[in-house]
Amino acid sequence: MMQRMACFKKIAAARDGAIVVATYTSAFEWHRVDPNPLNFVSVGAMGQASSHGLGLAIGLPDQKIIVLDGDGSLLMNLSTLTTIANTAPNNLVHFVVENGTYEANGGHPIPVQGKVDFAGMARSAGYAEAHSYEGLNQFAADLPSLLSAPGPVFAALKVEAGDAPPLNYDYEWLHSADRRREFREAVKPLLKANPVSSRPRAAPFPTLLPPSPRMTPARSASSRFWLIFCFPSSRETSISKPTIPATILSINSVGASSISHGVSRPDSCRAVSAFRCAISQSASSIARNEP
Amino acid sequence: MAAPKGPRGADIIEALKQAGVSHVAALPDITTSDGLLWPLSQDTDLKLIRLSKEDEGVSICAAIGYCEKRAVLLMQQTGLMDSLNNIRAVGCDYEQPVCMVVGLLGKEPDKAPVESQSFGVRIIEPILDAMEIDHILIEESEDIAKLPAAIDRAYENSRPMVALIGRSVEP
Repeated sequence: MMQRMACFKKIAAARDGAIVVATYTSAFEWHRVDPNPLNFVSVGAMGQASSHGLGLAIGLPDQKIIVLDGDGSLLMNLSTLTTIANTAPNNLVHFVVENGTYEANGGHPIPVQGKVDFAGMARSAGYAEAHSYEGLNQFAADLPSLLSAPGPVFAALKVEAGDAPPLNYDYEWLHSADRRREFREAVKPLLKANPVSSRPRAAPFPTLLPPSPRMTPARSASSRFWLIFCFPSSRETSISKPTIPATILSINSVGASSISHGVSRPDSCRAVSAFRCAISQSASSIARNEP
Repeated sequence: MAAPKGPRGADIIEALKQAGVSHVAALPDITTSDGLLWPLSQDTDLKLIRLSKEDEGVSICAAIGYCEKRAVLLMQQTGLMDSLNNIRAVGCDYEQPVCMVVGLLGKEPDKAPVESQSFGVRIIEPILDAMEIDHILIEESEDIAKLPAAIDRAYENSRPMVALIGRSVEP
């Protein structure tokens, strides 16, 4: 058995400018070992580090991408193995820190703790290479070839559970918008060609939206009559709180549009909301299919 | 009476290109299979990423976005439901422009989604509203004009977006 921090120190020493996508406990520990704006820690839901790694590997095909996954995390997104193998990014190295526990959630054991063969799963899924390590010396010896071999490469690192310091991690730091902003800025120099802003666009799609003033439905598809007033100033004020109706009747009974549920949301989102309300209310199938 | 015609897949593909989309991550959905996904798989401009599960696609599309490229996730509404937690985390909490094209399996062609007899269809728009996710409905070819603008809006506002496909896509 190895210690996670010892493995991370070896990887940091061999990193050579790679982007590192790390998940939860590994993200905190990795940042402690090698703080770097090219560390990507905004993996969203548990298990999604490898999928973010795949997206980055696709978006930056000339950049080495290292994923520091957890065994519990991988179990939560096992389908990633076949997706990565099928996409076959040759710049992706997928490490799974295998401590056999859900360490960030109380140290409970993962299912089939110590028995599951993660490297075997990756190999069967179709990774170009898949290895499993229990000793630090062998891992350190193989690391340069793991990082230079055409991927996708997989390596399970069997480590002792709970070798990390007390779990008083700062999740606000992890999920902060600052992490994503820092990463986005750090990636910019790596973007070589074809940014979307400079790429020639296809010919504009013909605008087929109905002209203003927008058409409103005479009655709904269920033959209920509608009476809709359109005041120019009503777009913002017509926004209501979100509801999840039990039935269509409950919507109609309060006189609401069955296709445009306004929502109460922060000011920054209001413009989007208002635009969507206008579009969906005026250009829906009901509007066009009125009897 | 003949069922109303759905949107043309070729027009949707053109609309995606018009919006600057370079990658499509997808799982098959019978509403869009023949008319959209098969043609997409043969399109030389759009790169298709075949997924094993839909929530992977949320992360993949968001990550591609960090590389200043645009991606779209194509799936069925059941996949949307299965991906809600990651959409919540990546799209809503992290405010990433995850753009999704979602086939409404089981929706009647002549009814609005919330009027569908199918519970799984009926709840989709209210759920998107509750999650404050911008959404448009594409039921016929005229509706496709809304798609490039909706994708642009998602990237400009860095917010998720869903285009619901309400009828079977025509080849």
